[in-house]
Amino acid sequence: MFTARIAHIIRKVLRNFGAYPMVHCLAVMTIGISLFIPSAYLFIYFNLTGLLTKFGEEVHISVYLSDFLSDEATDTLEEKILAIKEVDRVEYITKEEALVYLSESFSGQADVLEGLEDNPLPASVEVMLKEEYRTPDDVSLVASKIERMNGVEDVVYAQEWLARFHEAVKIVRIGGIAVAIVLSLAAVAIVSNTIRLIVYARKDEIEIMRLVGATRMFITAPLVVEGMIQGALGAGLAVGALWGLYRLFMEHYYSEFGLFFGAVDITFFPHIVILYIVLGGILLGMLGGLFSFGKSIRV
Amino acid sequence: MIRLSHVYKNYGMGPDALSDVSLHVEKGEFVFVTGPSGAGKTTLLRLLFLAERPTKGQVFINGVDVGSLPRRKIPYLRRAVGVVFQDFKLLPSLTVLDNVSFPLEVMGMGRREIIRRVRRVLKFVGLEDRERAYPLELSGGEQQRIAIARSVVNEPPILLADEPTGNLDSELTLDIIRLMEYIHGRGATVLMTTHNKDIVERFHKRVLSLKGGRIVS
Repeated sequence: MFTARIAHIIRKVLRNFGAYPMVHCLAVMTIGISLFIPSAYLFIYFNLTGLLTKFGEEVHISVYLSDFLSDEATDTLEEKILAIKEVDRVEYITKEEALVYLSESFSGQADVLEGLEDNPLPASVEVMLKEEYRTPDDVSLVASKIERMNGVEDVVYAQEWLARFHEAVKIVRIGGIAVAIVLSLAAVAIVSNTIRLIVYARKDEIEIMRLVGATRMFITAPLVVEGMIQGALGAGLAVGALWGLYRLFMEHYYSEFGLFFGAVDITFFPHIVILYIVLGGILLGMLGGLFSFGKSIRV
Repeated sequence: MIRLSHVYKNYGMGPDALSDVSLHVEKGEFVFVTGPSGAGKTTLLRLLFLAERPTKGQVFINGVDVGSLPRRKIPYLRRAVGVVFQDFKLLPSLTVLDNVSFPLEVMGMGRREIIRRVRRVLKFVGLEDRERAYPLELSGGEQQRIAIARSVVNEPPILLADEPTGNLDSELTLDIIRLMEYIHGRGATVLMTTHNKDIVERFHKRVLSLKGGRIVS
């Protein structure tokens, strides 16, 4: 009995794909398109947050040291800074290194630095904060703590830039979630309407099944399975199309845009995200299949 | 087998489609239901295959009070009732074999057994060589025989036919009635609506006349 039912569902699904190929292609394409849009968005979101994380690593505090600081005193100061809980790591830059960096950034115009008798640059400590503390408030808090320490000449950080950057991150994160929710709801609505059309196209069949005593479960099961298959195929279509576009972009346009992107890698979804999108498509198809009947299958 | 007790049916507007209808059909009877269009013949049948519920009154099928039956049990009662329509209601995208299979699939029967039974019933209606055909490749009379095959393939004790010959010429009409008689002869209770007086006169069966939603004789 049970195996007969499973066999029936499989047979029915195969037969329906054969009997209504256009309708199913339409459903797969609809799911594909409605998943492509949020997927494309997700792709952009991922790469944008990747970019922002990279920028975020630039958040640091430069602590310029007094010229008269002894080596031991410098070590003590470094330890004291490291002891602040928001601090991730510190990097000591000697006067000489500072000069090297400066001349590197003026390469080709080396004469700018010619004629300097003494090295006028101070030694410094670059302070990197832990990721969760890279906010404007935390940065200025840490900076003020360091400012009060002995042997510190000056503390410099990009306050204005940091505030703006933080705003940007916040907008991308919150906006990202909001847009993702809206797009997902739209996808569910589109898919459920498409499946409703499919059910409508098959109302004669459903009517006859009811007439000969089919239970609700018997009518629904193949439609839900079909919905899940359509969802999986649609998701595959969406990811495939996105991947095609991604490859096209990387091969033909990335080098031109490279400067704009600041040599940031643009990466495709990790496998796990692709799996999630496909699972999302299956779920979408399943829900569409379950919710689409409404009155049409009422016994 | 079938009993109606003071049944009223109103579709929510207009006059009652059925008004104070009481009737009793014994097991193994063959009944013609006649009357002009709009007399309530179709409504009566729809009540019997549970597509409608009475507004008032009680409908008993096989001793079961349909009104007090929970919705989820309705499909199981429907399996005891075969139905034939004027417009056949065959699915054009499915073969004859698949169309006739429906009532057996619904019962969860294995595929091999289904094919065996469908072939037997197709032979019974004289269309054993058309199982691979599609309904639209068949003539009207053949389509109706397929529809009848579908309605009796699971051997229901009750067979309802709503103007089964309405779309057929007189020669084919006789074929169909004879087929229904044959099914009746094998033990089924048959209720058939028609407004064809010739048929009613030619076959001497119990006749139930409806007019304006009431039984007049």
